[in-house]
Amino acid sequence: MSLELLAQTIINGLFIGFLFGLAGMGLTIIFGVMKIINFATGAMIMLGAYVGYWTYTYWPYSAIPGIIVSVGVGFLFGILVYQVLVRRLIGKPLLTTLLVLFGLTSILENSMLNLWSPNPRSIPIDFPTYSYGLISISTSRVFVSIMAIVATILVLAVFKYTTFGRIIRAVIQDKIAATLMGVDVNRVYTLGFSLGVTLTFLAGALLAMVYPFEPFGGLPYALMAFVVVVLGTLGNPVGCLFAGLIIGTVHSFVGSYWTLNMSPAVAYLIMIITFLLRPQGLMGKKE
Amino acid sequence: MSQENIMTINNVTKMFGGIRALNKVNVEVKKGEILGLIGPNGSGKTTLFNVISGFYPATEGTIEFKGENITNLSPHKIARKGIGRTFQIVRPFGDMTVIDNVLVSGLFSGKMGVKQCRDILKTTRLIEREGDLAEMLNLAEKRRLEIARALALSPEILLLDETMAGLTHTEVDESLKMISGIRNEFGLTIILVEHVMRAIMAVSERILVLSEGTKIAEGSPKEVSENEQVLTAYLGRRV
Ligand SMILES: Nc1ncnc2c1ncn2[C@@H]1O[C@H](COP(=O)(O)OP(=O)(O)O)[C@@H](O)[C@H]1O
Ligand SMILES: [Mg+2]
Repeated sequence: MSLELLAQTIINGLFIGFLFGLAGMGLTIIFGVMKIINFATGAMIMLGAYVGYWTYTYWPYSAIPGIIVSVGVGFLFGILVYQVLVRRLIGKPLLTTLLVLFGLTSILENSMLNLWSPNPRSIPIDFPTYSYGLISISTSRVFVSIMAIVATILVLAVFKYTTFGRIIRAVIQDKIAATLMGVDVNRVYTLGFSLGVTLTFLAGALLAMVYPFEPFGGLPYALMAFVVVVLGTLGNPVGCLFAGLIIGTVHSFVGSYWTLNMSPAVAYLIMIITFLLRPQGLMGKKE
Repeated sequence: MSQENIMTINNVTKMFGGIRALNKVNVEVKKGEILGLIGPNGSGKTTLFNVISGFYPATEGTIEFKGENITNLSPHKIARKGIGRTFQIVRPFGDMTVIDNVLVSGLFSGKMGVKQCRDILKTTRLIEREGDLAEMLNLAEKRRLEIARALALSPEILLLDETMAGLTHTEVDESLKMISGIRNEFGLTIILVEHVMRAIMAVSERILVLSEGTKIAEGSPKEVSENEQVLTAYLGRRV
């Protein structure tokens, strides 16, 4: 086992871990606020990637506009999906949510197929790669990691210090008490869902700069996001980021030393073991 | 105290399936008064609060607040109109700090900033704990936090649901002093549900008695405590 391979594996793992963490945060915020599991996460990650890609083909000078447009579209798309569909799913049986959001996934995936063909795409941005011996660090990955960290810090700061954040936290903890304190829960749900979708789109736009993607390519990312949410404790954004880094590293190790195909299996095994030993997740309190 | 009405409860009935939790209840709440609401367990006191705050729709009847019919408004709108409340079973936002708990409602009133919210914590003697998580507070402090949170809405009416239950003798006395103090400081109208009879008699100007959802008496503490029906309702339950 060479030291270079080990170092490279860890670096790659942490990098993709940020993306898992972002997608997981999108899921966990939505779940925390309205107890809805966004089963359309995978398709939304891919849509975020396509929006970034599409923007780039029109303005191929920088990565930034693609990210901004993807974030903006994600936010509006989130409001739309909430108002049209998700609003009606609140408090409904899990199966209803599952079917409706699988339906949405199917609509999104086939629309992407029609719009952009089944060919894998990627954003061909020329980021330089630096090599240290056998270890190579591509600046695109560094850039993507920094964006993910910035987004996480921003979300946490909004949660902690702003009025909107306090209100979201209040709704997460006790919807009824929040209502009777004057909080319009439906409005908070709309914005909470939309914030979650925005992060999901951002994860997509960022991964598009590093990995190729195609219309039906969202599932593996979504599966990892689900593991991250459970591992990081439901409803805990910081936990998500840590769990993302752990799962990213595991993913990378399985890829380097075994085979990437087994990575989801190993990730789910970790999730099941966590369930058995620490049902409240890594960050959760006892009970 | 003026004789002006701030809230009128007209003929309110609330059914839960076949249970008549409130039966044609009429109340005129005077501006600035402390109105005590008593009655045996299950007589509909909490239900009346839930109907006023819009959490349960009334099966029949209307509620007017400052001349406006608020019967079918959603709870958050009623809260913003100036009707604050506490919960019989405390439900603070446990994972948030004491000051953040108060800021949630404080920021809606539009009249409150961080400074005013901290003043409320001073009034409710929680200022030393403003940075602690709400779940770390003891019961008496959690009950005061419920009051602080409701005050942060800058309400005109405050509905207090058994805020003294489970408190020690000394804590009840402190709480009584605080409630009168709040009424005078903020010019509030307060409706107080309490099981501690000594407490409610001491602080209320008027008392209303519910039994099985029906209003059976209304009057000064003295009148009510000498009322035959009231004595039967209470003693009847204690056998
Ligand atoms: N959500 C509810 N569903 C069904 N019955 C209820 C509900 N809330 C209260 N009740 C019933 O209404 C009656 C009055 O209860 P409540 O208002 O809590 O009494 P109190 O506060 O005076 O002790 C009781 O019989 C209670 O069981
Ligand atoms: Mg009660």
